[in-house]
Amino acid sequence: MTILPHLLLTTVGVQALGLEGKDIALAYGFGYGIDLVDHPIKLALYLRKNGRKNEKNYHWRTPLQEPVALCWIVPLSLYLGTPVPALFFASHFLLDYLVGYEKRPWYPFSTYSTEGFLTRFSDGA
Amino acid sequence: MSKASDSILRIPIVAAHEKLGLSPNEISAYGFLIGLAAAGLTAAGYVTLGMIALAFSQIADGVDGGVARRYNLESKKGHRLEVVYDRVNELAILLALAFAGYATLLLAALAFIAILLSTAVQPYSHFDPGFKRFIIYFGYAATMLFHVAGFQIALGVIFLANLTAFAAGTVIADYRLQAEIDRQAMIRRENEHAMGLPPPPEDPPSFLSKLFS
Repeated sequence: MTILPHLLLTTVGVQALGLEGKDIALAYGFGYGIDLVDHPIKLALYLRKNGRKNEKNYHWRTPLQEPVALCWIVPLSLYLGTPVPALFFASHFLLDYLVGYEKRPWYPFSTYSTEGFLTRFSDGA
Repeated sequence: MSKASDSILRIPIVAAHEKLGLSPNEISAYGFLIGLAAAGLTAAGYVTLGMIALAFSQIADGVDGGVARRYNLESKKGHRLEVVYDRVNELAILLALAFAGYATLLLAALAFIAILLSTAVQPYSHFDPGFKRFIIYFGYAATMLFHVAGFQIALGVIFLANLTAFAAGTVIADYRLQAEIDRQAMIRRENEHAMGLPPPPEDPPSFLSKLFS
């Protein structure tokens, strides 16, 4: 999923829930910012394999934005005393799972992979 | 405990096995019981005695592995047993601190959940932050010296360190998988090139590849 829908959904969520203060920062961090942290992680691997060539279906994702991350985001939400991180992270990965490209939802605990819910719709990225 | 601790604990390692004739599993069991005693003492309000017992429990935790390595007695069963003993001891001391009013029950539970998560991912990531019972001594020191909620701070550190270790562990494991997938793809591509097969059609340049070319 491209960054724009995440940004839009997060902004709508922040407005709809009337969030304030640190909750806004958490909402943007977990609803949108997680992409900015996650994708550069595999940049070195991508460049080693492809150089500057484009490989459209490269697996950029890491478990930071897969459902397995709920294992650490839900406890973090409890620690912070706000449901915002878990809620906005769930909105992030649900949006990702609407479009069709490879995802490994439970890696490293399971090697199961899926294309998402609406496999006919490509990412378009 | 690591091999580095073996040299520090050389004397008790030799004494436990050669003088007392204890096996690594027996030492683990004694360490486990001392750890439970530490939790009991802490819960009863004897926090200083509890910390001393906890220290003895952790020394036993280092000695069992040291004996196993020094006398070539390492086994998967022994390692599993040690992990179970460690986690139960950690649960006991965390609950004891909550019971004695030094930390909230929520934070004790969250710290233990984080420890379980980092333990679960460790076989895949081979990464252990080591921020577990050891941090509790700093909490004790802060409580006694500066009269602050030291144990609460220590449990917060244990929680955040182990949660970070879990998140980082999943990424490390995935990075290794991706590196292996890429390596195999590159080998396949080189083999196809060596056989004179035409390369697969390239994807059209992306915005970023245009930007950087």
